[in-house]
Amino acid sequence: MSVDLRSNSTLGRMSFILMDGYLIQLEHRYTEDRVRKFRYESIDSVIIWQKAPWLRMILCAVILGLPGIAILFFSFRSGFNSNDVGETFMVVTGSFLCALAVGLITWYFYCKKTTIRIVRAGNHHDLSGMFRPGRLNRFRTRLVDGIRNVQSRLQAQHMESSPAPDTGAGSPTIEL
Amino acid sequence: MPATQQIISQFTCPGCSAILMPTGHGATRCLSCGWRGEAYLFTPSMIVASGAEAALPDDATCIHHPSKKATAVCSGTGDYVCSLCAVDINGQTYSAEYLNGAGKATVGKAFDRRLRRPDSQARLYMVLFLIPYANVVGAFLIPHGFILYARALRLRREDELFARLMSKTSVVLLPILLSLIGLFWIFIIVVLTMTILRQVQ
Repeated sequence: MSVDLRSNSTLGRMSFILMDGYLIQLEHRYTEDRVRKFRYESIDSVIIWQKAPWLRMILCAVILGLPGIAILFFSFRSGFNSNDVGETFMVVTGSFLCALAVGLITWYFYCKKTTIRIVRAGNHHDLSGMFRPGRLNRFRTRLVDGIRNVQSRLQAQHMESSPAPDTGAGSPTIEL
Repeated sequence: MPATQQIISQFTCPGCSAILMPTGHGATRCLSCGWRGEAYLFTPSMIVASGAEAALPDDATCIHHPSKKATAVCSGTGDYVCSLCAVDINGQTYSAEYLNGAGKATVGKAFDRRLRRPDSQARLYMVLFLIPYANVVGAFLIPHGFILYARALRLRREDELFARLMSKTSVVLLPILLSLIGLFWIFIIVVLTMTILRQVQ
């Protein structure tokens, strides 16, 4: 499957494809995808910004990190005995939860919540999700270059098709 | 329709809705709210609607513009409409007035495009197979896998977007995976039946 950018969130999965002068947004559903197309030539501006998903990070810390720390705390407070299978299991579980929380929080902070705003004829449409920075950079470069190429080509065509303004340079002058 | 180029030199700050005029392309900052981001401004082509042709005495006229020549018939109301009023949706022509009366949601649905995904359907079946009692339809997955295969092949031929989304290998894997699940289900049923029969004997 060749998709340029993909976003997985609890509210829905989305994919973005750059193809044939269009930015195509696919909203994945159970048996079909909703397709939304943005023509390059009609895009006014593209605005991209990123924010750290603090809520997700806090939830991750509360749901995974805190129980992990609590488990480790109670295991070590009572004196950790490595021969005891139950205590070893507790330490392993606590460490696993802590590592998972730290990993997820780092991942969220690294990727950040990105919003790509496409403005067309004064109306905007936001495409948001958490994307890997490398993929996002490639996507942005391709999108911006693609829009510029299409619009400059159209501009050139428009200049060619419209008659040149009459400056009177070639017309005979009458001296009085 | 003729098109003109429009130069965009400003954009609205997503944070405070202030008008920002970036000096160059790329990183930008709003001085009033501190928003930081990247802005890329372009020169979109604007389609200019040319005036509808004036009607001659014998011409059919637009119901909304009596002085203009009718060029189409609205599929919703059956009225004659001019080129200014005609809106083409999925091969059908509607008048702008009719669409306006139908409401934004209806018009939005008319423009909505959906792409059927046999592969997503197959994925859904695989998940359903893991749910007890929902997996009784397991045996039907074998013929249905081949139906989905045929559908995916047709979609790949007809739709370039689908062809890009689903490779040939994925299309081939579709009936194979579903058949394997179906066969697994049949195997379980046979084993269970034989075990019960042995216990009865």
